[in-house]
Amino acid sequence: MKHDDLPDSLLVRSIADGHLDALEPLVRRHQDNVRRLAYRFLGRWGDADDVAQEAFLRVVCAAPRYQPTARFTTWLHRIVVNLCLDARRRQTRFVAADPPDLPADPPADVLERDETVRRVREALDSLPERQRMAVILHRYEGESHREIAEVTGWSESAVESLLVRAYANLRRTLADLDANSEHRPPENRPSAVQESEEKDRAAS
Amino acid sequence: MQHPSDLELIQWVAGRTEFGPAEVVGRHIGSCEACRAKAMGLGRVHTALGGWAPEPPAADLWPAIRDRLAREAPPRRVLPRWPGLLRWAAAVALAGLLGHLAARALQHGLGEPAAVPGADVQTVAAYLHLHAVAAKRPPGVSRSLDVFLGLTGEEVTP
Repeated sequence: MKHDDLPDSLLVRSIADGHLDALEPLVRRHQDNVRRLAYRFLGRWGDADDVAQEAFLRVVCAAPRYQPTARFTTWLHRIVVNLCLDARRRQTRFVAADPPDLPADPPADVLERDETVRRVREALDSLPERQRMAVILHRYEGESHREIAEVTGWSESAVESLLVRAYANLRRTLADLDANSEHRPPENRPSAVQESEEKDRAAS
Repeated sequence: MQHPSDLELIQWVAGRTEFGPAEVVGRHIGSCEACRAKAMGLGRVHTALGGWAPEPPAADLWPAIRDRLAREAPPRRVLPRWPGLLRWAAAVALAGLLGHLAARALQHGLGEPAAVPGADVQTVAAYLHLHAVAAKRPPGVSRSLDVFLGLTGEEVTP
């Protein structure tokens, strides 16, 4: 069987046995997810790529300790999150000299959407780093409290408290976003909120 | 129902509440102004966050990772993976061999002590003497020592 066809857990086992070529399919499968996760936290693609490279190299070192009881992505995210938090601490020392990438000038027809994106990025960036990481894992990686706790090494109750505080902060920071802009409802959000939003718009 | 907690609302807005409890929360929100306002605020945040979907610049990290691996990690010698039973058998055989060697060392190691080159003659003599006592009177140990130690039951006469 070719490496490309093997599940993640067997590839890690293969790496642990010294077959480093098994890393290639893992990198190709997960690199974009890892880069995006790191970018959302760090704000620069260059830093995100450095973190992603380092994360996969650490997979090689840590492979013998991998227990297939944990999902590979949870295990990989733990490595990425630790690297991101380290990178962020280094980054904050140089932030004044080297500001994060901002999106390129947007075309006029998507100006509104990109304005929202800019506000979202600023709002996330203003959160304390643990709150920001908790929200990123919750909203973008779809992880449960337990998974976030597993990935970050924080307790479940700490994660719950971080999420509540983070969303409260975001609600305050982004409170004025809805008044003048249309937002697509999330695919899986219960209809009651969507109906409430419609009622609210109709009332205003 | 009681007001749902902030965390329950976050989960509900994200669509991660199971069907039954989600219905209950939904009914409550329909009738509670305060919770509805909170849920709508969270819904706006959820939607706004969802609008940020960065697309990574096209890049393949593998060549750089492969180069770093070649530079930083020397090729590892791959040892065959031994089945569990074989590993236990090897451990038992090794323990047996070590036990045998230790027994032989004990058996023969208490014989004649090696000469200590350059050592003081009196020190060597004293060592040999004590060693002989420990070995329960091997040839060469004087009877007077036994008497002195009370091994013969005779009284020591000064």
